[in-house]
Amino acid sequence: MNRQSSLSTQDFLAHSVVRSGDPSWLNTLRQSASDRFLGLPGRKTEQWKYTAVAAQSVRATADDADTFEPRVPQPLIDTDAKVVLINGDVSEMPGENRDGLCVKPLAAALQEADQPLVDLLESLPIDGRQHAFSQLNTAALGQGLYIHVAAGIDAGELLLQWPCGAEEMNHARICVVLETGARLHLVEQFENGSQHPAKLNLVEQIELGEGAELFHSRLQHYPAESLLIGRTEVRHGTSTRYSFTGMDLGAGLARHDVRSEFAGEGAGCSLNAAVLGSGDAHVDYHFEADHQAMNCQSGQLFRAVAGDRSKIVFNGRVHVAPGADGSDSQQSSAGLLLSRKAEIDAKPELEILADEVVAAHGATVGQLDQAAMFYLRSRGISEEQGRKMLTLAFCRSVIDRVPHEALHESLAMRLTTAMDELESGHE
Amino acid sequence: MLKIKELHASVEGKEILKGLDLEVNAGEVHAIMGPNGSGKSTLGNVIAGREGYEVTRGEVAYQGKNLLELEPEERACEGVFLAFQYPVEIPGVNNTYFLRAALNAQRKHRGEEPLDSVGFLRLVRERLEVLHIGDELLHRAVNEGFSGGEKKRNEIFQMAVLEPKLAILDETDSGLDIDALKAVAEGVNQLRSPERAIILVTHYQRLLEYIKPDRVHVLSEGRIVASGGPELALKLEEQGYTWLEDGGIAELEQAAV
Repeated sequence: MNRQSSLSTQDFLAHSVVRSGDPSWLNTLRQSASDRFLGLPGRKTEQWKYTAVAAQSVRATADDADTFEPRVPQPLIDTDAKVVLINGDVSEMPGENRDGLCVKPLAAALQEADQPLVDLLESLPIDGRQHAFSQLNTAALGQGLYIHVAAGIDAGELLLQWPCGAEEMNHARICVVLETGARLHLVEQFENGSQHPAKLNLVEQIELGEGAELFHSRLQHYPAESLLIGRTEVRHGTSTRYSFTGMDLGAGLARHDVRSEFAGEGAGCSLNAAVLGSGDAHVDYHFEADHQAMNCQSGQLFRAVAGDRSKIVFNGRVHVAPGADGSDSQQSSAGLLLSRKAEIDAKPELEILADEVVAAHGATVGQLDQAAMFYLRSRGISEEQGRKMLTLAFCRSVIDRVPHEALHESLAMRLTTAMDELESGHE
Repeated sequence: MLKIKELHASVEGKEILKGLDLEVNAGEVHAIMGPNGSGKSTLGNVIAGREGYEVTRGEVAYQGKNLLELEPEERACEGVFLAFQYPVEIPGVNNTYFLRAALNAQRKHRGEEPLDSVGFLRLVRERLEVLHIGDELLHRAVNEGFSGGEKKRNEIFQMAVLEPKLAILDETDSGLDIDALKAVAEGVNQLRSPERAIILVTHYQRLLEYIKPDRVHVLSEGRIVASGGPELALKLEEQGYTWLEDGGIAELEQAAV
């Protein structure tokens, strides 16, 4: 039997957030975050309107909650630069760091307290109820990773695996600093080797020095009834690039906030995600491009395929500050409903306060193209296979953004396999 | 190979085919001509099994089987091929991948081993050469951004790879310039064989200058009103379709005897 347990404040702040022996700046940061926590966001919090966590009960399986044995899934890509974080805590590190790439457990980095890291941690906006999870995350600050790439270094791929399954919610923080001209492909795998549901609250802070480039690929395929809250904040220096590609195939509830803030001129971001909703999954993407500087370019691409009783939410926000002339922003979101009980909510949000700006957006929600389906069938391809081909094709534009060929192939294959797992097929 | 008896079919409640009879044997090429709205495309779509085309009466026997009972993909696997009047663009699905999936689905149906990518590519290159088509079509998404001529060539190319027993070409000549028309016709002629039946559905006689049909049928208001040899097409071209309605049908029937 599954037991229903709602998320409540008690779950998170039952204990004092101050830890003796830790530096005082850190305890101050934790305490101040804890003081700001007023409860989880509900329907009245605009940013959480379609994903009212406070009202939502998140199930945890009571039977085997204590006996969770983390099973690390097959790595998504083959690399020696791999970190395994079990329940948000570092359990396996790369034997040796590549030249110019420094990866260390956040706990150790917090003790060393380098000024850039302290500044980064203190800079995260966490006011208001919409940032309730970040408040909790900061109050519990301690687990996670610090990743640093030295100037001019191309550090290749770094894989983070996130098996997770404890009864209580886990909080983790990833801090990434790329110095001038540095380059990294961060690949994240949110997946369990078993069917145990995950509960993870993750905040990622990324700082890009002049001319730096970060590719960020993320597969989320947690078991049903999992809860993943992820917030990614990217601060762009001059002429930097950030490319995010997310693919979600699972979870009970997954929420991704990805925000690029252009602090320096001539920067660009490309935020892409493809979601296949199955079962009762609820996946919510909030993309934001914040044009604070001139001549920056942002693109947002979202593809949602909602099967069974799933619900998929997309909110694409573009903000162009006064004086951020020469801004260019493109946005496209499209949804495919495979079942009558599924739901897709897509909302573009454009706030343009400068004059010399190009901003385009488009959103559609529909069903599989019947003309294309008949064309495939008329050549001998079964309805089932045709549906898979067309769905994969629909998500292709997102997956094609992944710059790593093996990862690209593996994501495409995962998507096809996940199509098989839809309960009802096409209704 | 194909026996159609008293076929009645409706689209959105409107009867288009009103008692059509047609018999096509292996090795034959038949042309079906008729004015717009006579039911030419409906016939092709009914045979291929498109949704929305409701057969209200009559029968379609294909190799002794009741074709109307089969799903569209089963018909294809049994060797029925429709070259579309308007080939569908499918962004994101690679043309080669699509065609290999189709061929292997058909091979599986016949109890044959699937072709691997090497074997498939060899077959594809062979066919391209015979049809004088470059391989640039292979690397693109199915029909996406293809010109009218490229789309029609792609249909013929698919036909050459899938090697159907019964091919219906639905106005494959429409919208083609003379070079593209010749290329398509040459492709069709290459595929003529004693085991294969081909039905050319067309509005104009032009295509028949390049593909010599064994039989020509005139379709008018949902029925075959006259059948004859290639000379029937010429007569029709000379007189125009309006002449049909002005009592020409009786004349045609006489001429055909």
